[in-house]
Order: sequence, then structure tokens, then C-alpha cells
Amino acid sequence: MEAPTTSTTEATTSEVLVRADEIEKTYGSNLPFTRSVPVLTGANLEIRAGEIVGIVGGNGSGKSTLMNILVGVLKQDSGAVERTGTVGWCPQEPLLYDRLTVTETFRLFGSGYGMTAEEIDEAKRRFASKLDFEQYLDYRIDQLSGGNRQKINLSIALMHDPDVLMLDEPYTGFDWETYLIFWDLADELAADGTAVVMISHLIEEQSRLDRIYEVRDGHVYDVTERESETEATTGERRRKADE
Amino acid sequence: MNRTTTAFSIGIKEQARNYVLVALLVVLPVSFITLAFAVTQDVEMPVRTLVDGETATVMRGMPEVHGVIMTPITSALIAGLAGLFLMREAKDTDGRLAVAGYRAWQVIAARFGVLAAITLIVTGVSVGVMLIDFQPEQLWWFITAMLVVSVTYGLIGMLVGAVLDRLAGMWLMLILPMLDIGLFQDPLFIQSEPDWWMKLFPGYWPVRVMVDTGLTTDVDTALSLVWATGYLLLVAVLAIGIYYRATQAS
Repeated sequence: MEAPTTSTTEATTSEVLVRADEIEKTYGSNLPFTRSVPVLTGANLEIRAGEIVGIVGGNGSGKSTLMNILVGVLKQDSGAVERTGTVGWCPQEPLLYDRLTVTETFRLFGSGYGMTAEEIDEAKRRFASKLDFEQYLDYRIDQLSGGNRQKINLSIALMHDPDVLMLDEPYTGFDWETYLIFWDLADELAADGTAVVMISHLIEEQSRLDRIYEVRDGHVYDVTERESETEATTGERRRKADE
Repeated sequence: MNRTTTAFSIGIKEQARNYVLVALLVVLPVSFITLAFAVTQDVEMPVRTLVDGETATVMRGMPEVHGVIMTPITSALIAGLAGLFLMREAKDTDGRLAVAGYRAWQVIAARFGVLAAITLIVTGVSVGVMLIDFQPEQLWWFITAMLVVSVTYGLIGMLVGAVLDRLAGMWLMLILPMLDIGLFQDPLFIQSEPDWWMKLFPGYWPVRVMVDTGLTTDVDTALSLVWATGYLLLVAVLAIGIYYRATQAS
């Protein structure tokens, strides 16, 4: 088994921003008489600038495992991940600090992204307005509803205008209006050259995706042609956004 | 403000809103230390300690000895639980800070800084409550040993938080200081030198210092404080390593 490698460089043009090569991951246990579970057994994929990419697959197929490895919060057993540019990550369960207010949450993560106080404040106001949580800025995270918590979760991933946006079922808990706003936002980002990668379960969403990868039997398959009957290309999306 | 300062200041705010921790800080010192003084019968008891480098037995009032033991139990218990809570929350969420751009050392410095600040407050409150009823013979030596045992238990709480869930970790961190400081190191229970395995517990070296400097006028346990500090450093290295592994991937 080869040693895993991960590298991160700066994004320049609309090239491949994330490349995974022969990723393997097995969940094991140090306890005796317990079995290890191989999840990925040689996964390959590429994510390009300006694409909206869906990762689909059955329950337990390894979608979230793959995304966590692509983001860098989980280490692969072998294989290589190359990331170019900045990454925004919206995990399935909002990984936020329950006892911080929304404003403090923006400050904490904005500081990590290297943003100034003014930039953090501007991003907070922009997303609060767009996703309609302006009235909750001084609320603690544990005082928010599931849907509002998910809005903060998404905003934190987006606030630094990342080159690659990784979303693990980002719309869980959204009402219909917010769901539509989310897709408008994803289209705008892709039109601006951001690569948007999302784990998706909903079949009706697949027409919105430029590329669809299916995680199955430990491998990743490009099933774009099979799944997408009305394919919206990146070029079409850009033209729509320009209009 | 740089990243470490931001994460530290926000971490302090977050812990100040941890009502369980604040309640423990208010309730435990009074209920453990003040009540121990109030209900303990005022009789002279033989106490094992060091005199001129030799193990010796001196006669001291039982409330004084209880004060010397209950104060570090209180502090170790609260610091241990604080360490446990910190690690449980960090395991879930601090990995996202790394994705956001925080360097490992920045998050580690902030988190361990928060634990250090909590431990200072816990030690201060515990000693302050104790001073109402009892004055150690050599206060600063006593406080130093208190700090060492409290920080050590705070770090052990972090280690426990890395391997056990919240409920199991809480049980362990409630029982461990009681057994260690309240039983194995209590000179009223263990009249002779403790067995070798009792000396492996984190309270052994610091409690020797506290019994010596709390109840006698000479310092015979300076070397014990060095060993206690060594124990603390060992636990700190383990805690930092495990924290790093729990929150960082690549």
C-alpha cells in the first residue's frame, strides 16, 4: 500500500481544482474480534473550475467519506489528493460551536480564512441578507432552528469566496424558498468559476448538475450521461447568469 | 487580533456560557470543602508526612487534614471535567477550524490556553474557599502543588475525552480524583507509605507536597514537586499528541 499524499496549491485558471487518485479507505478497529470495513478501494475523480458536480450513491456507499478525504478532515489510507486554491466545506451535520453567537461564529471562522474584521462583517451581512437570518445574528447557535443552523453552516463555508465549495447535503432543513435561493447561489458561484461539489440524494436535482459521480463498490463512476437527461452545461449556466 | 488570540478569546466566552461548568465552580467548593470542615470531628489524628527527609507521623486536627485533601479533590474534579468537555467539543468541531485555515499549533495554543485559564480560576476558587476555614503553613508551596495537580487532571480529562464518550468520561472523571486523592493519597486512610501502584496515580506527588506544606512548617518535598511537574509534562505531551490526532487529518 502506497503512502497517502495530499497537496494544496493556489488556483490560477479554470483548470482541475481537485484531483483524487486511487483513494483507498478502510474503517478499522483496534479491538479484537471486530471487523474492518473497506469503503473506498481505488476512487478517482477530477473537479474542474466552474462545474457543479454531484456525488451520488446508496446509503453507506462512502460519499461522505470521499468528501471528507477531498476536504482534508479525514486521512486516506493510500492514494493522493491534490487541491488547488481555497476550500469551503459545509458538512452534513453543522459543525459549529453551540454556545457561540452567529456573529462570533463568523468572527472565529473568518479569522481562520485570513479575513479582516471589515471583510468578515461584510460577508456576515451579505449572507444574512441573502439567506434571511439577519434577525438571528446575536442568537447562540444552540438557540437556532435546524434550518437556520444549516444556513449558518452554509454561510461559513462560503464567506471567504472559496475556489472549491464542498457541500454534504447542504439544503437539509431548508424551506422551499431557501432551497431555491441556494440553487441560484450555486449557479452564480459556478458562473464565477467556483467548483461546487455536493453530495445529493434527490433525483430531480440531477438536471442541475454538470457532472455526476456515483460512489459504488468502493469506486467512483462518472454517470453523467446516464443520469442527466437535460444536461445544463457550464457554458449555458454562465450565459444564463450573464443574462 | 491574530488567529490564536481570536480562538482563545472566543473559547473563553464559550466556556463562560457552559452553565454546567459554572454551576460546578459555584457549588462544588462550598459543598466539598466548607462542608468537610463543618462536619469533621475536631480530634487529633496521626498523619504520615515527611520530616527532615524521613517518613514520620505527626498529630494534626482531622478537619485540617480533610481540608488539605478535599481542596485538591474539588479542583482536580472540576478541571478534569473541563478538560473532558473541551476535548469532546474539540473532537467534533475543531477539524473544521483546520479546514478554515487555522494551523494546528494555533488551535492547540488556544484550546490549552482556555484549559489553563479555567484551571487557574478553579484553583483560585478552591483555595479561596479553603482559606475561610484553614491556613496552610506554607501557602505558596501549597498553591503551586494545587496548580500542578489541577492542570494534570485537566489534561487527563482531555485524554479521557479523546477515547470515551461524554457519559463514560464523566463517570471516570468523577471517580478518579476521589479514588486517587481521596483514598490512595489520603494520609488518614493510608497510614504507611502507599503501595507502588498507588504512586502511579497523578495525585501522589502533588498531595505529598500539600500534606507537607499544608501541615508542617518545613519544606521537605521540593523534589516531589519536581516529580509532579514531570508527570504533568508527560501528560501534557500525550494530551497534545492525542488532540492533534483527533482534530487534524492532512
